Amino acid sequence: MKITGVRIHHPAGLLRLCTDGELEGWCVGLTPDISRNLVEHMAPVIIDQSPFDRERLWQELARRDRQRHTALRGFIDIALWDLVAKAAAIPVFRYINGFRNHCPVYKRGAGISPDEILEEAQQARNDGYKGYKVATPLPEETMVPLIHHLRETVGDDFYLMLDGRGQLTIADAIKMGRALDETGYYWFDRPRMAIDTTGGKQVADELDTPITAEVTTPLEASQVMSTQSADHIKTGTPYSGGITDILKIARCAEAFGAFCHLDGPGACDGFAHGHLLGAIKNSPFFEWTDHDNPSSIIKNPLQVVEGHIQIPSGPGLGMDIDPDALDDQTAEIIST
Amino acid sequence: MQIKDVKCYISRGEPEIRKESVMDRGNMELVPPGITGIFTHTHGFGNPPVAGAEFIGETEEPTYNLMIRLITDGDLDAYAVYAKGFNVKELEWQAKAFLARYAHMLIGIDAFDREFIWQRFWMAQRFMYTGRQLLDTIDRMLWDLAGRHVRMPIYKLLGACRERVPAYCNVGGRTIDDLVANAVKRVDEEGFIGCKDHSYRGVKGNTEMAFKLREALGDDIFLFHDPVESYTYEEAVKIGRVMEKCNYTWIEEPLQDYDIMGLKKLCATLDLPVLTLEWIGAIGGQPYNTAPYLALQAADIVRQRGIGITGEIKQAHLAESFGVQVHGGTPNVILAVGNDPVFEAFMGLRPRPPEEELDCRGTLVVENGYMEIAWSDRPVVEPDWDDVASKAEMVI
Repeated sequence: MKITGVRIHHPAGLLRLCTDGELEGWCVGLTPDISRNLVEHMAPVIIDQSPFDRERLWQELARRDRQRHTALRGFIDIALWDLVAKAAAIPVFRYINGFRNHCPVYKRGAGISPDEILEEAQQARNDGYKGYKVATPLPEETMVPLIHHLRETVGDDFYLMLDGRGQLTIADAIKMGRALDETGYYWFDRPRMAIDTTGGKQVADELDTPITAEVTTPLEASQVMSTQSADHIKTGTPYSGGITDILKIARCAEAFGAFCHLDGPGACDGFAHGHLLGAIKNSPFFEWTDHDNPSSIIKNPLQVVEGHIQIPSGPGLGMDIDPDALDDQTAEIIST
Repeated sequence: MQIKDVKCYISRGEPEIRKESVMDRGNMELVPPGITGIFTHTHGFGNPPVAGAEFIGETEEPTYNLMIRLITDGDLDAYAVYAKGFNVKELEWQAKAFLARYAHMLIGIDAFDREFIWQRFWMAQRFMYTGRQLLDTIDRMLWDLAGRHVRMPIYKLLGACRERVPAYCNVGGRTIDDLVANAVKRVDEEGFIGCKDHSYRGVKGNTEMAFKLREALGDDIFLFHDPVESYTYEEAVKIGRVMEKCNYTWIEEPLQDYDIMGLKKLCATLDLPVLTLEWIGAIGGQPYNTAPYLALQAADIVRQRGIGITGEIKQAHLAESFGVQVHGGTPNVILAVGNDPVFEAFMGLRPRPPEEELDCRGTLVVENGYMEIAWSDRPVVEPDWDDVASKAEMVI
């Protein structure tokens, strides 16, 4: 099988890897400027190549990372996995190495005020989610009481997390982290940028609650792990690359006994992260958020049922694309 | 494709004459015992006595294979030879142990849920003291099944990185001159891109060997030195400097793998890359025990001893995240990663079989200085299980 072309539908955001056979590899979530860049700079690497030579193509695409957005090749990589698993008529997670066919889910919050956050967390708990993450930046003097209040509101048997978005001072991170230690939060996302290895290490050493650092490459993951500047790794498609990248990052973290958390639904409205979670052990949750714009061309979007997602069991990523919706949402095709 | 049942077949193999002997260790008694004269494993074994070190059976005896078959609800089953021996009764009890202890950990699981099975048997290593072979065999038979399912060799399923890699050979000899002559002959006649010694001649002997090899082979041949953990730290620095002068590619296991601080210091001291972790990896633990060596920079290149295909991929990806190479992977994994660039052809040459003998499992080919996997999309001829059962000594 050879890849013969790349066609990207807009505004649907669907990338189609076309082949000399009947099968196509798909990825959803592209923007027009990303698509033009991808077709110009990345697509020439894969045209006329076999999708089964994925690692070689990955190495060649990764060499072009400098001055380009990693997401460009991330979309291609995801579509390549979709294509080869379709050819084998098995789901991507089992093509990689199946670990589980369903995965627990927590809700990433979108509330702005403390009251909204408390209400949202309570609602998430009532809806069956396994946990809730505070993702709103609030000043330390507001956040510390909220951390306590939130734990009192939802009770002890519900996972809680806090996201610092890499924007906290070291002093604030430690103050908030102490509140997390006292109230048993599961982890503290991104108190510092990953590049701050000394500050990250200081926070990680001070706190009992594990902290994460957000990385975009396997090399960054190995540096975070070997400097112990974070306890867990945070990453995700498409900005860290594709399924291949995340597998490498997760395997690095696994060797250090660390979790590798995936950020939000990622590319393909959660299908890529779903399959990754189906294939790796050291990632406890799918991070659900319902304020992103879901793609209307996927007929079988992921559903949270009793706090779990089922990992799609169809061939490839298992995305069922609605041809009529795609027609409606195709004003422009950017192609090779 | 779910695993529904496990069956064990004990079948007759080719008759063999039993033989136990001690490997001849050449002139190891002449090896200088290190700088300090302290007893080290450099010279600690001695040579076997001339007489009485060999036991050879008088007649051929029948051999038996124990094959494990994981029966699925799909078209294909997973299977592999799990044990061999001269005694049916012994194999029968190995089969019964497998069925009693491990079969229930496989039945009902999807045959493509290799990661789940790998993680489960990884933990079983500790809780049931299984050792590494059980997981290694099961993981490889499941990958073999997946390859036959997609009708491609495993490296294509993993995502091929290249179609062939350069290959080197191992050379030895009773004397340094023997070893050098052997190296010249094999490189010239068999086309290998380089050669590796396993020489325990100490700094003095191995210095002489290195200069003679480089002179005899010229500048374009790759040289690798593997003293099999036989130096002290000081000796390793001395021989490392010699190997740097002779443009060696790496030094392999200069110190014991356990000596993490010595390895860290040696990696920092030498320009010559230090390859390590073959022995610790052989016991088990990769990739988890590799992580601290990489974090502490106590290895420049790490030996590939991941358990099963799954474990090897984990080990290669961990090393890649540090920008570090691995060495010694299974051919299918070597061809699927970017950081295992040269093949150790310990089996010697393997000429390419005729096209009509190739199938989708692939056949190892070593010739013209390269390793590759020759394959076609022809399905593998599957065992006729009724026939296997009817000819078997025992089906359990």
